[in-house]
Amino acid sequence: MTGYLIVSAVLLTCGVVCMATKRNAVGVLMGVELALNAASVNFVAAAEFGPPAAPVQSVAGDALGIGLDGQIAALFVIVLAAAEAAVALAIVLAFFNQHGTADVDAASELRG
Amino acid sequence: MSVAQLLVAATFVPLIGAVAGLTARWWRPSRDDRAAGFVACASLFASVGLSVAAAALWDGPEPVEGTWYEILSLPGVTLELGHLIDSLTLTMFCIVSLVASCVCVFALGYLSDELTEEHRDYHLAHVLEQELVRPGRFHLFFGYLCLFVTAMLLLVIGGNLFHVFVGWELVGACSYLLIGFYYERPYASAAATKAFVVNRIGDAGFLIGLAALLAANGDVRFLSLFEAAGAGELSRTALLVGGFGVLAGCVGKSAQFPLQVWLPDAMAGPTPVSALVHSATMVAGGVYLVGRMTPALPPEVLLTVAYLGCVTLVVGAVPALFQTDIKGILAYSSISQLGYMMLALGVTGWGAGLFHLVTHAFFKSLMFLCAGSVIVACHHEQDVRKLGGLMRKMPVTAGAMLVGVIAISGLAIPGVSVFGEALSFSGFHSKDAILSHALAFTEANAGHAALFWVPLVTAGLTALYMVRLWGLTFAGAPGSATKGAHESPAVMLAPIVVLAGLAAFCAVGGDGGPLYGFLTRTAPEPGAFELFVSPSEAAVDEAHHHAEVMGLIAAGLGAAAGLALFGPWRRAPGQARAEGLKDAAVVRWLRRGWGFDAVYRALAVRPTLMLGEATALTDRAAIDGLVDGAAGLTGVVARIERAVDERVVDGLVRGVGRTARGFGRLFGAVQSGGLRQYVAALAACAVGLAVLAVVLLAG
Repeated sequence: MTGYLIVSAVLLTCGVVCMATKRNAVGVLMGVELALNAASVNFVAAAEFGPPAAPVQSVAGDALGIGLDGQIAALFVIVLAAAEAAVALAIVLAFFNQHGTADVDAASELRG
Repeated sequence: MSVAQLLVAATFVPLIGAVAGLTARWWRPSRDDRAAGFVACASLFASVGLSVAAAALWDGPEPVEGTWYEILSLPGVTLELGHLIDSLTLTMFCIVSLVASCVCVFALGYLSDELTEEHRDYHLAHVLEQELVRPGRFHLFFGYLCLFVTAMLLLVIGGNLFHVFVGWELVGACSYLLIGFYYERPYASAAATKAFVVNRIGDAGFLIGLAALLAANGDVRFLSLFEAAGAGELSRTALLVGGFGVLAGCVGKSAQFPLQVWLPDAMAGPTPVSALVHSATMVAGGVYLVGRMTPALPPEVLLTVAYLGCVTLVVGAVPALFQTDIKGILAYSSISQLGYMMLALGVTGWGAGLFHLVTHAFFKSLMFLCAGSVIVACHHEQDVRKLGGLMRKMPVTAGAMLVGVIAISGLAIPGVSVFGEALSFSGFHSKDAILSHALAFTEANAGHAALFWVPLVTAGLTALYMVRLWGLTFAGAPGSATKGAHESPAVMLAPIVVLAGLAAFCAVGGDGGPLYGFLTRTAPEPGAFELFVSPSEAAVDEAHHHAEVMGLIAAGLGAAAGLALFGPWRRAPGQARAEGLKDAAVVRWLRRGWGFDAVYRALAVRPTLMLGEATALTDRAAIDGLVDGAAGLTGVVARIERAVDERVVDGLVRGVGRTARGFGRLFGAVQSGGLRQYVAALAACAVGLAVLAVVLLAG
C-alpha cells in the first residue's frame, strides 16, 4: 500500500510541477494527466488494500463491500481524462489559431 | 322717441367724434386734414339737436328715472348706472352740448396751426427759448374734446351718485388730457397733473360721502336719497358725512376755496379747452352736483357751501384785478363766479345759483373764445400790458367781448326798456337773482350779513377787472404785440357771435323768464332748517328790488372806476399804470393768487417730498441693509453647507466608492490569467490544507 501511495505522491508531484512549470499548453495537459493518474493509482490501491468501508446494506439486506469501486472510479477518471484531453486539445488548437502560440502565459486575456 | 332715449343718445353721440378723432391717423393718414374736426363738430351738433329735442319733448315737473345696468345687487346694497332726467339735467345737457359745439367749431380755426407735419411750438420758443418742432395733433384734440363732452354728459345724466362718480372721474381724466395737450411745455404738463391731483383730493371726500350714503341708505339713487332724507330715515351722521364728502368733491371740481389752485393753471391747455373747462363742463360739475344733492344736504352743509362760496368769490376776484395774462384774468374770474353759484346754492337760492351757472357758461366761454381770437391775432401774446387798441382791428371780437364784459359785470341801463325789460344782458339777471336771495337770507338770519355784503362788493370788483381787461386789450393806444393783428376767420367768429347772442339774451325776463322758469320746474322746495331761517318767496321778491339797485350801483361804480383807470381815453398803452403797481410785493403776491401755491408747497408738497426722502433713506439704509444682510447670511450658510457637502458627504460617498474599487483591484490582481500561477496557488493551498489537517489531527 505504502509503495503505491509513494508512487502516487511522486506521480502527483511530478504532475503538479509539470503543470506549474511547463509553458507549453500541451505540456501542461501532460502534467494534468500525470496528476489524474496519481489519483487513479490511489483509487486502485485503496480498492485493493484499503480497509473495507463501513458495511452498507443493500435493499435486499446483503452487505455491500468496496469491491471494484476503486477500479471503476479509476476507469471513470481515465474516461473523463480522455474527454477532458480532447476538449483541452481543442481549446489549445483554437488558441493557437488565434495567437500563433501555445504558451499558457500568453493566455491572460481573462485576467481580472 | 322718449325723453330718456333722446338724452341717452345725446350722451353717446359725441363718442363718434371721439373715436373719429382718436383713430383719424388710421383712416386719414395726412396731418393737414380737418376731417376729424368736422366729424367731431357734427357729432356735437347732433348732441345739441337731441338735447334740445328732449327738452322740448319733456312734459312736466315729474323727473324721469331709469336704470341702465345694475352693477352690484346684494341684500340692502344696490349700485347701478342709470339716469335721472329733470329740468336741471335737460338744461345742463343743452348748455354743455351748445357750448361744446361752439368751442369745437372755434377750435377748427384756432388749432389750424396743428395741421402740419412740422408744428413749431411758439410758446417753448418764446418763453423758454427752446426750439421744438413736432407733428401737429389736430385730430387728437378733437378726439379728447368729444371724449370730454361725453364724460360730462354722462356725469349730468347720472341718476345716482355712483353713476355721477363714474362721469366725474372720466371728466377728470379727460381734463388731464386736454389741459396737458401741449405736454412738451413743462408748465402745461405740470398744470394737467396739478388739476388731476387737486381734484383727487376732493374726490377722496366724494368717495367717503358716497360710501356713507350707500351704507346708510342701501342705494344712492338721488330720488331715494331725497325721499329718505325728507322722511328722516337717514341718520344725522350719515347725512353730514355724505353731505360734506360730496361737497369736498364739488369743492375740488368747481375750484372752490381751498382747492381753487388748479383752475388758474388749467389755462395752460389750448384756449378752446379753457373755454370749455372754465364754463360749461368740468367746473360746472361741482355746482351741478351741489344743486342736484341739495334736497339731501343738511343745513350745516348748506351753510358751509354758502360761506365757501363767499370766501371763494373774494379769493378769485382780487387776483383777477392784478393779472397780466388775458386768460389769467378770465381764470380767476371763473373762480369768483363759481363762488357766486355756490353762495346762491347755500343760501337756498337753488334756482339763482344754477341760473348763474347757465349764464356764466355762455358769457365765460364767449370771453375765452374772444381771448383766443385775440391771442391768435397777436401771435400768441397773452400779456394784456402788451396788447391794446385792438378795437378797430378786431371789431367783431371787441364787440363780442364787450357783450361778455357787460354780461358778467351785471350792468344794465335802468329806465331804458326793450320789450318791457331793463336793457341788460344775462349776467345781470342771474347775479341779481343771487343777490336778492342773499339779501333775503341775511335779512332772515341777522348773523350772516357777510353773505350779502361780500358778493355785493365783489360785483363791483368783477366790473372793475372786466372793464380793465377790455380796456387794456381793445382800447387805448396799440400795444407792442398788436402789430399786424387782424380779425379772425369766420370759422372762429361764427361761434363767438352765436355765444354773444346767447350770453346777451339767454336770460331774457330774468327770474320770470322762460329759461329760469324751465330750470326751476323741478326745483327742490327749501325745507325748514334749524340752523337758519329759509327766506320765503315773498321775502325774496321783496329783497329783489333793493338787491337790484345795490347790485347795479356796485357794478356801476366798479365799471366807472375801470373806465377811469383803463378807459378808451387813456393815452399811454396799458403798461404805465400797471407797471406802477408792478413792483409792490403785495401785488405780486395777489397776482399769484394769494400765495396759495407757496403755502401748499410748504404744507403739503414739501412735507410729502421730505417724507418720501425719509422713506427712501429708510429703505436704503434699514430695509436694504436687512435684505442685504439676509442675503449675505444666506451666502455664508450656503458656503458652509457647500463645504460640508463637498468634504464630508462627497468624501463619504467617494470613500465608499474608492474602497469598493480598491477591493476590486485587490481581487482583480489575483485574477492574473496566468495558468501556472493558478496551479502553483492551488498546489500551495493543497499543501497548506494538508499541513493544517495534519496539525489539527495530530493536535
